[in-house]
Amino acid sequence: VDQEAPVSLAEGGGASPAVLEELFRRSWGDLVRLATFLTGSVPTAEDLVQDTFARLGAGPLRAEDPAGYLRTSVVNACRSYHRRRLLELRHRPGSARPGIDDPGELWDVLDRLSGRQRTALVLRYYLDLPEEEIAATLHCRPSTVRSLVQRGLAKMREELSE
Amino acid sequence: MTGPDEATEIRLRQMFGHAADQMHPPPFVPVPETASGTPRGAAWRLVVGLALCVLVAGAVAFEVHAVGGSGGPALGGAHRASPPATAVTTVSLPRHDRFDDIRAVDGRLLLSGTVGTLAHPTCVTVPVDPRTLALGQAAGQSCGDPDLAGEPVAPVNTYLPESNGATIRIARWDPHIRRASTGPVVMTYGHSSDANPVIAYGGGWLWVYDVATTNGPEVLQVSEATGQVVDTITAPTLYRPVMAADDDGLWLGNTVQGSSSPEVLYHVPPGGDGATGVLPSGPPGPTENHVIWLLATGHSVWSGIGPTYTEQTIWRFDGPGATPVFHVPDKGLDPTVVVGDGTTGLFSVGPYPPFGSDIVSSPRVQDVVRIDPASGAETVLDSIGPFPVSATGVLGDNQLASVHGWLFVLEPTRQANGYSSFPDLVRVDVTTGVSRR
Repeated sequence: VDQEAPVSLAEGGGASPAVLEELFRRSWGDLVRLATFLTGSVPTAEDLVQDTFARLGAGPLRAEDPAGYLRTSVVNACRSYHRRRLLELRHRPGSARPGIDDPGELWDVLDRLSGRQRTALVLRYYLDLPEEEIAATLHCRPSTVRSLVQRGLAKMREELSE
Repeated sequence: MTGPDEATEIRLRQMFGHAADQMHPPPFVPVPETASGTPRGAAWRLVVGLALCVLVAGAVAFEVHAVGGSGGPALGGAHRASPPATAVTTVSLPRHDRFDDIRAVDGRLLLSGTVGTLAHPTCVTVPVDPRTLALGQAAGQSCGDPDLAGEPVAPVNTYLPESNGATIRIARWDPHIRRASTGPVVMTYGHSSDANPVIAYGGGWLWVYDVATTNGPEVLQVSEATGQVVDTITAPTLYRPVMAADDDGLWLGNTVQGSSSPEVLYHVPPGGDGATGVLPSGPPGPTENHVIWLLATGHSVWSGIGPTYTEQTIWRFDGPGATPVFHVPDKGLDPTVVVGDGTTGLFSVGPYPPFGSDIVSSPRVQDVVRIDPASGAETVLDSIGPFPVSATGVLGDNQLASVHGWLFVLEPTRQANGYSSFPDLVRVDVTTGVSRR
């Protein structure tokens, strides 16, 4: 998420809709890229980020860290998407991959990770988030994040060496 | 010396950086509130909302750029040998407008979408002359206002602040103020980020279903004449169902996007006090049946039902008692969205090779399929395209409409700012089609 001037919060620690909109305007591109890495689809990522804004934009956002809150909301939206998608795929063999126009090995490798491993690796190596923030986003302990990252890396190493 | 993990970390960072550099998301446009529902039970359309009160006047220009049958190249550049079987006409819609929905309402063909800039859009509904394909007078309004889109009443969805819930009110055209007026809240629901209300029109009623209302799964029966809720019915738990309505009431189908349900299809009669199971789902698991598509007109219901898209059986039920008329296996054409009626026929458009096949390349031609309403027999009438295959792999029900013996298709999918729109309108004369396979 864009790290330029911090967004000022309204009294009481909340972000007003106008501030939230400005925050979204600034971070839109980064959030879409994040959601793209988590879903493998640019249009889906744009929809999920827009949905997140539509949900949050209806009222003041009560969060001490609006940028982190937005990021977590987008990650959660991607997880919900994956839950629905998994159920769908279970019943829909051979469906078209909702991928980027030119999927490279990164997408192949990401697809082979579990949802939580994928999220942990994206947050760690794309957003460069510290383990504590990843843990807060994934609602788990930092040690679990370490485990997810290590297992994800090991799996990637296997895939990349094949 | 670099360890194996460190080397993988470095490579991973490089790959992320390279991939991120290739992504260029379009500019952000705020979407503060959803003020409209999609027709025919599709997922609700987010309407770009800024306060505009513009009436778009004048006919919208269009350009006919192809007349005649199609039958474009198939996969790998191979061409189909058969000549065109139907009269196919394609018109380019105005380049700067973003039409994303076509539907038939009471014999009229209506296009909906937004015009103007992405930052300052106006929501419009435009009648289309099915014979000449001329676009008529555009009725435009603020995208924040209730969007009736040709229907006499429509639900208005409003997200509640600081919650995952939302409310529904009913909007109705008010001839005195010449715009839609909105009534009181008639439904409050939660889980808006996961499962949204589903609607269907038919038999003079608007039906609204949500799985997570404050009263549990519930159906509202709303009069199209008055906009009043005339009945509230406790309904089965169905996440992301498909719905269709006719003179006999509402038909609710459990889809593959939902969870297990004892019945795959339910019926709610007008003024009824509950939903009746029409067809059991079978045991939960890989053989459990789901409704793939559902269409109801008059006193007949047609549906593709099966464990998956590729293993569906085409059913017809008649009357309020849902008497089975036929059930025949799909012959591998895998219809996923079907329009039409019992007179002209039922029609579907889908990529060839079909969606369920292992081949996922894009673009692909789209087969136009007719399903005989009396027997369920499927016939490939023609093919159109090729068009890029959408992210879901199939057409949405916002892309197809059938009226007066023609089938209309919006293609190809164009993505802008997270929203899909379609630059071309394709008309297929389905009365001239003959079997090609």
